[in-house]
Order: sequence, then C-alpha cells, then structure tokens
Amino acid sequence: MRYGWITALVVLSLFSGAWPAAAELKIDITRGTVEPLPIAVVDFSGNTPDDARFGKDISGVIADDLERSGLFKPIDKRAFIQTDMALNTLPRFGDWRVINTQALVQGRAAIAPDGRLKIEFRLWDVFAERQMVGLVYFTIPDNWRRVSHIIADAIYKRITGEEGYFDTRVVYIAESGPAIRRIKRLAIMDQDGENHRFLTDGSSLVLTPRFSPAMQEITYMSYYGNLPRVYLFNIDNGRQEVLGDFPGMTFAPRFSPDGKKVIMSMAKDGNSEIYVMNLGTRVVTKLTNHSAIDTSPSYSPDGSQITFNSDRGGTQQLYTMDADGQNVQRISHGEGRYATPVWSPRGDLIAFTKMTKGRFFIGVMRTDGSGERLLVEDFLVEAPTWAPNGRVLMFFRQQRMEANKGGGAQLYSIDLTGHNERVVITPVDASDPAWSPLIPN
Amino acid sequence: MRNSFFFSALLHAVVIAVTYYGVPFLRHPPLVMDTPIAVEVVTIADKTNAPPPEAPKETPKAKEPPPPPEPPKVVETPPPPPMPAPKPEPEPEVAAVPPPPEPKPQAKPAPLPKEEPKPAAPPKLADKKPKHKPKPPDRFASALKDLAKELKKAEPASPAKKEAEKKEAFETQIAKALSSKPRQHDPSLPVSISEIDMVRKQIEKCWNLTSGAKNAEDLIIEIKVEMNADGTVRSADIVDKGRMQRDSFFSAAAEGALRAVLNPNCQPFKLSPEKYDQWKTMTLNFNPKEML
Repeated sequence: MRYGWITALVVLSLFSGAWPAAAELKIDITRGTVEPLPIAVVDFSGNTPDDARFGKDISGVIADDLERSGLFKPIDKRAFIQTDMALNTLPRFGDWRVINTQALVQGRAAIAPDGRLKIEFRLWDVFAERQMVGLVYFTIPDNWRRVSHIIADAIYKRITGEEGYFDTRVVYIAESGPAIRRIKRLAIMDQDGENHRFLTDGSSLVLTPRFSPAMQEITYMSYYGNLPRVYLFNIDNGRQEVLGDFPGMTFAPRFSPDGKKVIMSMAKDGNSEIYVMNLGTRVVTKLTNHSAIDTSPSYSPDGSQITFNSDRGGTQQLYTMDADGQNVQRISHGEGRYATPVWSPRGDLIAFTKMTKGRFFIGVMRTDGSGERLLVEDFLVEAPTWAPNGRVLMFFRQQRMEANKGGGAQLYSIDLTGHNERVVITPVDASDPAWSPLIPN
Repeated sequence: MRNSFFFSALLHAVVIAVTYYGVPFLRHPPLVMDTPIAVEVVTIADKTNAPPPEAPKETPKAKEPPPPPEPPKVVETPPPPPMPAPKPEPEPEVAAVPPPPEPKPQAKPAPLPKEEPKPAAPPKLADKKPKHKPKPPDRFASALKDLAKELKKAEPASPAKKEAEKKEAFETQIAKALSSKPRQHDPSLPVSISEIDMVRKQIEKCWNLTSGAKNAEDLIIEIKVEMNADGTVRSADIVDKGRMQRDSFFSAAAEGALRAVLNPNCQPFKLSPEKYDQWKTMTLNFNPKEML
C-alpha cells in the first residue's frame, strides 16, 4: 500500500514536469545560402598625401586578398554613402546597411616621426553595430604590403573562424624555353603573385620544391651533374646542400610538421622505398619494405601518420601508415590510379591527383579514404598543395605540349568546396607549386 | 413443468448470451503488436485564423546606442619577410605605442532611428476578394456549378428542376459562407506551422553559410530573439556564450547566424500581430545539416 502511494507520487511528478506552462516558439533553420559576404573596405585615411597614398594601396591589397578567397565580395567604392569616415568615431551604420554591407573595414595610415609606418584598422559588424576587431601595426614603410596581408588575415579569421592564408608565399618551378630544352628554375613569390624572384639560375633541373614549416628552408629534387638528389635550400642565405648520401636516386622530399625531419623516396634497382632523415642527427630510417614502388610520402599535421602512394595492391593507390612505418592501410579504392597524396594542414582531408580514362583530376578525400570528391578535371592537372589553413588548394594545369612551344603550364588555386578556381599569375610558365606556412613574425 | 420451462428458458438465454458475447475464458483476443506511429502535434496552416486587416501598431523601441569603439590593440611590428637575397634590411624597431584616442563623445553620430514600422499589415486576400469580384469563392462555386451541370445533363429534366433549384440554393449558401467576412480570429491559437515556415524561408535567404568549415555538422547555433510587434527584431543574442570564447569556428558561425537574424532585408518576419504574445520572444536554431 505504501509503495502504491510512492509510485503514484513518482508518476504524478513525472507528468507535472512533462508539460511546461507555456512553450516558447522555436524555429529550426536548416538551410542557408552560400554567397560571398558583402564587405566594404574603405580607403585608409591619412593626414598627408603620402599617408593617404599608403592608405589607399593598403586597402586595395586587403580588398583584393579578401575577394580572391571567394568568401568575400568587396563593395564598389563608388556605392559608398558615408565618405567622411574617421577612425575614432562610430560609422553611420544605417548608411552601410542601405548598400547591403555586412562588414566594414576602415583604417588609417601615418608615417610616424621616426620614419616608421603606423597602420591601424577596425572591422565593424554593420548589423550588430559593434567592432569585431581593431589592431595597430608598426613597420618600415617598404613592408606595407605584408602588413596589408596580415590585416586581411585578421579579417578573414575573425569572420570565417579559420586562420588566414594571405601572409604566405609560394615556391614553384618556373619553366621557360622550348619543350626539348626546357629551363626549370626555382622561383618564389607572395601568394598574390607579388614580390616575385628566381632562386636558382636554371643551370640544373629542379623539381618538387617543398617548404619547411619554419620557412627558411626549401627542400627539392635537383639533377645536379645528372644525378637526381634531394637538396635543401636556405632562403635566407641562398645556400644549397645535398641531403644525405644515398646509393640511389632520391626524390619526392617533404618536411615533417616540426621541420626536424625530411621524408623522401629512394629508388634503387628498380624499386623505391620511403625513408626519413633526421636533419639534426642525419640518421636515416627506412620506413617501407616492399617489392612494390612506394613513393610521395606526406605527414599528417600532428606527425603521427604518413600518407603515400604504392602499387603494392596491383595499381597505384593511396595508403596511410604510422610514422614508424607500421600499420599500413589502403585508403583509396576508386577506379584509376592515385598519386601525390598531401595531408591537409587542418588534418581532416588528403588531397591527391587521380588518373583515369586518360584524364587527370585533383580531388580530396577524408583520411580514411571516404568522401572522395573530385575538384578539377583536365588534360593534365597535378601537384596539389594546401594553403596553411587547409581550405584552399593550389595546383598546376598544363595544356598539350607542342614540339617548339612550351606546354603553357599555369598555377591555379581552388577552394576545397570546388568553387572559386583562380589563375595565379606568374611571369613565365609555372608548375609544381608549394604553399608556405604563414610567415612567422 | 413450470420449472423445466424456466430452466429451458434460462439455458436458452445463456446459450444466446454466449453466442452473442462469447465465452470470456475461452477466447483471448490476439495481442496486436502495432508499430507505434510517431505523431507530431502541429498546427496546420489555418486560413480561417487569418488576422483581420487592422493590425495593432506598436512603435519599436529605439535601439540603445552602440558602445563606442574600443581602442585597437597594439600589435608588435611584424618584421619584413626573410628575403632570399642576402642583402639584410634594417629591422624595424618595436616600440610601445599609445592607443589611439578615445572617441570623442560629441563627435559620435547619433544612433540612427530605427526605420519606421511598415504600415499596418496588408489586408489579407480573403478580405479583399469581395471588392473585386461579385462572387468571391468563384473557383469553388464554379466547380460546384460544373458538377451541377453534369448532374443536370445526366438526370431527367422535370424532377431535376427542383433539385437544381435546391442545389442553386445550396451553392449560394456555400458561396455566402465562404465569402462571409470577418472570420473568427482567435489570437490564443498557437503560431501555425505555415507562419513558422514563412519565417524560416525569410531567414534562410539571409543566412550566409561559410561552407567548407571543419566539422561544420557540429556548428549548431541557438539564438534568442526578442521581437517588436511589427515583426522586426528588437534584439538577438547568441545563447552559448561560453563556446563563443573557446571556439573560433563556432563564434564565426554564430556571428554569421546573428547577421542573418539582424539583416533588415529579411525583416519584418511575417507573423500575425495578434499572436505577438506568443512570438515576442523566440529561439532560432541554426543547424546547417541540410547544407553539408
């Protein structure tokens, strides 16, 4: 009897809690649009004509960076209603809402008495009417372009939540001359194509350059004296050195995420295996041991795993293994052949080149091989490289080669969603790009 | 004799009863294992509950002036990038920098008055119809007419006349019923699913997703919204403030959702003003599941 009462009470209390007094209206929004965010980048103000010129140039670089990302749509300056903006007063948000601005960038540039350039900016959320970020930078005036990229990165990060990638550089193979006597030089430029320069003179063939995470070094393969070897190139002092003393040809080098090791392939007696060299101790470790060809290794961003391609399964496919060479697993299972796997710096995807039915593709898949998506297809597209935020890919595309003309290889960038493919302008033909990490301060 | 008759009658009664009701212990009804059907109790679009044209006006509260801009943070000078050319460049000095001056209060532009609420909600179609057309429920009535004609053709003429007259009367009655204005409007009825759908469509147009974000399926954002009676948003607040601090992907996504709510191009929300009490605060749940 007593238990009956208790049960009744429990049941009652359950039911009384189940019915709230008044249900608040809830609406689920499950769809949206994917459009670039309308952003207004106002010319940075300046007190003197010199300052104002800097300000205009800086805001131009910022707007170009944001536009090129495909995620922002800078609004035409002629549409601006408020033109009298001062950095220390609130913008007239209503004027910006009228022209559909959602984010607003304003700033000021001034040469300080000590000769340094002072650049400050604010990013405003026009609808919420509040400042999202505001920063001041000091630098030498020659460095204004880099500070512009840094500001663009800050804006990109604040609005998308992802790290920016504008303050980065790209090394690539600059190609010139006829197909039979092609000159290939190592070249470097900012990600927007500015500050371009050649690093080697073209006397020896260079291939597959890769950045060190620490930025001062590039590793690549070069045919010096007709012997293909992996080299290290110091960007600061221009010094080159052969990496290791291997009995066979070494190729496809890549740094480990901490920059302390270089992983590469070595071919000997018609077979190639993957090796890793500790740059500090110069100790070399063999990671694979298989009669099939294993090549194109790339570390995961935490350094615990390696992806590579191998034809051990009969055709060329992608595999992953632990950093010590154990636990090899095949991850690609599609038609055709897969090559050049590159682990995303974000860790979630692996980019690759795929060849099937006489066509080339650039694609991405998850690290377990699921969710394969092909982003680009052409006669020849190859060598994907990730922007440091793991959101944008760069690759090269080549048209059919003709005997006396170059193949017209060109660099392109594309968003990992497959949208926003852009040409990267280079002074000569370009192949084999490698995107740098963010330039450390 | 009399007893036998009594027993006989009783037995017959029992037999009849057993035949009619069945023997209770011999027949167990089989257990019906119906699979449960999930039923969501929703209010279906109810045109009959359309609000009358005279919408009560309420001037929205003026927005509080936004806080003055914070002084920008000073960031250490980024050195020039390492040049491949060996020529060294002078390193810029890093110096402590005074923050920019605080905004002057007198220079601060007055906060913009919120746009005037739009004039009262436009009269609903049902209310307008009679003005333009003599027979308002024309479609339905004409459909009935067609039906009536067909019936006329099919049936013999003379007895059908009365029938037709009856139908005519019935038809006009229906027409009257359909056209009869002020419908009973009950503001206490819940906000209908069609109204919710309408608001959902409005906000979806303004919700700009940054696609390609890592683990986008986890970025579910709740925004609490306070509404003005004219359907414009008075204030909107992201619920999970803790995660805003921790997770830059989440805070970017949440601010994107907030921009969708605050975007004036997608307001006022088309909700009936009579039910204002029910939607003056609501929670919008942004879940990009259909976009992944």
